[in-house]
Amino acid sequence: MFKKKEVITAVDIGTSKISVLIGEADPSGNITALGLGERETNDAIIKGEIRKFEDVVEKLSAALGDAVVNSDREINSENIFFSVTGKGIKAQESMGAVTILNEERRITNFEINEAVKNSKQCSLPPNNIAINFVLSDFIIDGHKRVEDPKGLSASKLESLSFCVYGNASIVENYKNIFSDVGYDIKHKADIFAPLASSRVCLSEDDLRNGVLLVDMGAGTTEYAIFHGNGFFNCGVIQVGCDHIANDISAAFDIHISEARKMIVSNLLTEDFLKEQYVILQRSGISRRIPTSSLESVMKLRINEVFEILNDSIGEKELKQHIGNGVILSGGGANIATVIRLAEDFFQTTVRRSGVRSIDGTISKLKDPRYCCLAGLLKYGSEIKLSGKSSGIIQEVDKWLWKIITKSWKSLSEAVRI
Amino acid sequence: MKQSESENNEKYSNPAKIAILGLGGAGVKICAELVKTALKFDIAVLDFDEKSLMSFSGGKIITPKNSFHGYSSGTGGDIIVGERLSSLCRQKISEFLNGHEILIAIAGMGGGSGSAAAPIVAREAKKCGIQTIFLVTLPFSFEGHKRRILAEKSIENLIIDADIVIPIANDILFSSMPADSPFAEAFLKADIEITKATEELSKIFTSENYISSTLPNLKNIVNRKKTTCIIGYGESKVESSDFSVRAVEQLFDSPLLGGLSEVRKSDAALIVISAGEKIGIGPIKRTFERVKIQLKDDAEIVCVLSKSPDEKSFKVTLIGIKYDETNLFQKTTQKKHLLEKKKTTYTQDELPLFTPKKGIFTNSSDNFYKNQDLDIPVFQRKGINIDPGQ
Repeated sequence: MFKKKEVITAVDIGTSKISVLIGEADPSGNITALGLGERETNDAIIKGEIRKFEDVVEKLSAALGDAVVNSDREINSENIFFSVTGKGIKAQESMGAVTILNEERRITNFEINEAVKNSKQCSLPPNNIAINFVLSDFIIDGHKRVEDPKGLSASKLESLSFCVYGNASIVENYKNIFSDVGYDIKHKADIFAPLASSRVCLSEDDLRNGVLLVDMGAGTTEYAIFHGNGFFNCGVIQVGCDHIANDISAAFDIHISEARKMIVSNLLTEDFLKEQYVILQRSGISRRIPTSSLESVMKLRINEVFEILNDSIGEKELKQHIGNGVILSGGGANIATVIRLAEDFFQTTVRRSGVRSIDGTISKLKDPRYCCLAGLLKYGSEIKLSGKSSGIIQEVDKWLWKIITKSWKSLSEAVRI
Repeated sequence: MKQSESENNEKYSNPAKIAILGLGGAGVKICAELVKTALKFDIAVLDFDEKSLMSFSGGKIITPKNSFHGYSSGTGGDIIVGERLSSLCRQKISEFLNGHEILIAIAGMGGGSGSAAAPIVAREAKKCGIQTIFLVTLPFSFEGHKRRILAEKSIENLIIDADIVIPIANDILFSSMPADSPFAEAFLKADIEITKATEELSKIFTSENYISSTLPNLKNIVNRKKTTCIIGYGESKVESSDFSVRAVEQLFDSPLLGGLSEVRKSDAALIVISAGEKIGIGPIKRTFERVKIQLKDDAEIVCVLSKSPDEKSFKVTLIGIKYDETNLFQKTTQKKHLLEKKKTTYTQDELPLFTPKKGIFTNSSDNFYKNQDLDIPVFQRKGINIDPGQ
C-alpha cells in the first residue's frame, strides 16, 4: 500500500508532439492529473521513427520542464512511464506450463507465478525483444479454461499470455533519450501505446464483448483487439494523419502546414463538408477547393488504413472479436468523416475514445489525442500500486492486478464492518 | 552470366549500328538537342518546313526533291500533303537507313509532317530489315479532339510496320511541372526529356552487357504481340551513399513513365542498369529488387547489366511493355483496309496526369505494403483524377 501519494510522470513521444503529464495517485487508486507539458517535434520524428535524436532530447527536456512547472511536483526517475511504438511491433501468443507437485494437488500462488514465468520464455525473431506481456487465461489439465485458478485442484497448469514484441533498438532508443535528458530508466517503464490507451478508454463491457482500439497518430496507426481476458492481436501500420495531410497537399497543391491545419483544426466538420467548396486564403488570394475532392482524398487514405488493418488481423477473426465495435483514439479520431468511414467499413458501431478514471482540471485530456498519455498515467499508478502491494511482478499483469484490487476491496469492507 | 571475351571483343569492334531520325517539327527539335550530346550515331531529320530545318545542324537533312514542291513552309497540318511529300522522300530514307541495324525515330503526332512520315519510314525500315523503335508524342488535350483522332489514326498505321512504338502524352510531360513554370522552360524541358529517353535507349543497345544482352531480349518480349510501352530512367552520382535508392526514386519520377500505376500494368519489363565496372554487386542487386517490387508479380522481367564508361554515374532504365490483349495490332502483313473492315479503333490507355511524389516522406525509410509504397498518395497510386479546384 502507498504510504503517501505517488507522483507519476507519463511521457508520450509521438510523431507530431512530445507530451508529458505529471499526476498523483493516492493509496486508494484515485489519479489526479496535475500538469501537462508539450512540444511539437517539427519533423524530428517521422512515421514514429526518430530522425533527429538531439532535437528529440531537447524537446523532451523542455516538455518535462513545462510539466514540472505546471504541476509544481518533482519528477522521480523511478516513476517515469513512456509509450512505445514503431515499425514491426507485433504480438504472439505464448504458453507456459507447470506440473502441480504439492501433496494436495491444489494450485497456489507459487504455481501460478511459475506458469506465468514460463509463458514469458517465448522465442522471438532475431534482434527482437518482448515489450509487454499480457496475461490472458489459464488452462487446467490441458482442456479447461479458467480466469482464476487459485485453489483449484489440477495436475497441470498452463498460462496463456500474449507477448508484444518489437525490434530491440526501438526500446533502447527511447531509453537513450531519457538517459540524455538526465533520467536513467532502470525499471519496466515502457508500454505499447494502445495498451496504455486501453487503460483509460475501455470499459469492463468492452473487454467482455471485445473491441478494436485504433489509435491513429500523426505518423503511425496502432491497433489492438481486446477480447475477454487479455487481448487478441495488435500491430503498427506506418500510416497516420501526416499521410492524409501529405495526400491533401499533393492533390490540391497546398503547403503541408496548411494541409495539417485542415486536419487538426475543426475546419473540416461534418457541417462544413456539406458546403460545395472549402475556401482557403493564401497570400491574399482565396482558393476554392471542392469539398467532394477533399473528402475523396481523405476517404481513399483512411479506407486504405482500414483495409491494411483488416488484412493484418483477418476479416473473419476481426468480426468474431469485436462485439462492442471500434474505438478510435489519437489525432485521427478528430477527423470529421472518420467515424462515418469506419462504420461503413467495419459495419459495426464506432466511437471516439473518452478518458475515464483520471481527475484533474486539464481539459485537454478529454481530447482523443491525449488518450495514450492519460493511459500511461493510469498504467504507471497501477504498476506502483501492484509493486508496493505484492512485490511479485512488476510488469503489466492484468490477472494479478485483479486479484490485488479484489483483496484490497475485501480488506476495506472488513475494516468498515 | 558474363559473355565470353571473344564475344566482347566482337561487340566492341562491331557495335550495334543505330540511326536516329527526327520526323516533323517535333522530331527536328529533339534531334537538334541530340546532336549536342556526345552520341556518335547517325542522325537525320525529315521535315517540310524550311524554318524548322534551320534550327538543325550537324546531321543529315532529308527533304523532297525540287525544293519541297512548293511546300517550303510545311504541310499546314494537312496529312494528305504530308503523305505526298513523305512518299517523295522514300529513296532518301532508304539510303539513310541502309547499313544500320536499329532505327530510333522521333515524331510528334497530330500534325501533317510527323503523322504522315512515320508510317512511311516504318515501311521503308521494314523493307531494309531494320528494327524500329518509334518515340511518338501525342498532342495536348487542349489542342482538340481532331488532332487527337488524327494522332491515333497515324499510330494505327504506324504500328503495322513498326517493331516498338512508345507513345508519350504531352500532357504527362507538363504535369510534373508547377503551373507557374515559364512556358519556354516547360517546352524546353519536354524536349530534353524526350532527348534523354532517346539517348538512354540508344546507349543500352551499344554497351557491353553482363547479365544478359539487351536487344535480343527486347526483341523477344516485344515481338510476340503488339505492345504499348513506357520508358523511365533514373541517374545518380555514385559519390552519395544511397545512390541506388536515388536512381530508383528518380526512375519512378520519370515523366515518361506515367507513374507507378502504369508500371504495375506492364506485362513485361526490361530493367537495364548501366554502371561503372567498380560498382559493387550489392547495390546492383538491391536496385533490381527495388524496381522489380513495383512490377506485377507475374510480369516477365529481363534484367540487363551493362558496363558504362562513366564511372561516376549510376543509371537505371526501365522499359515497361504492355501487351495488347485484343491482339488488335498483332504483327502481321494484314493490309490497312482489312483492319478498317473490322471497325476497330486504337485507344491509348488513359495515363495519369501526375507524377507520384512522396512529399514530406521523400527522405524517410521505405514503407511498402503488398508492393505498394504507402508514402505515395493513394489517389496517385490508384490513378484517380482529383479536381484540384480553383
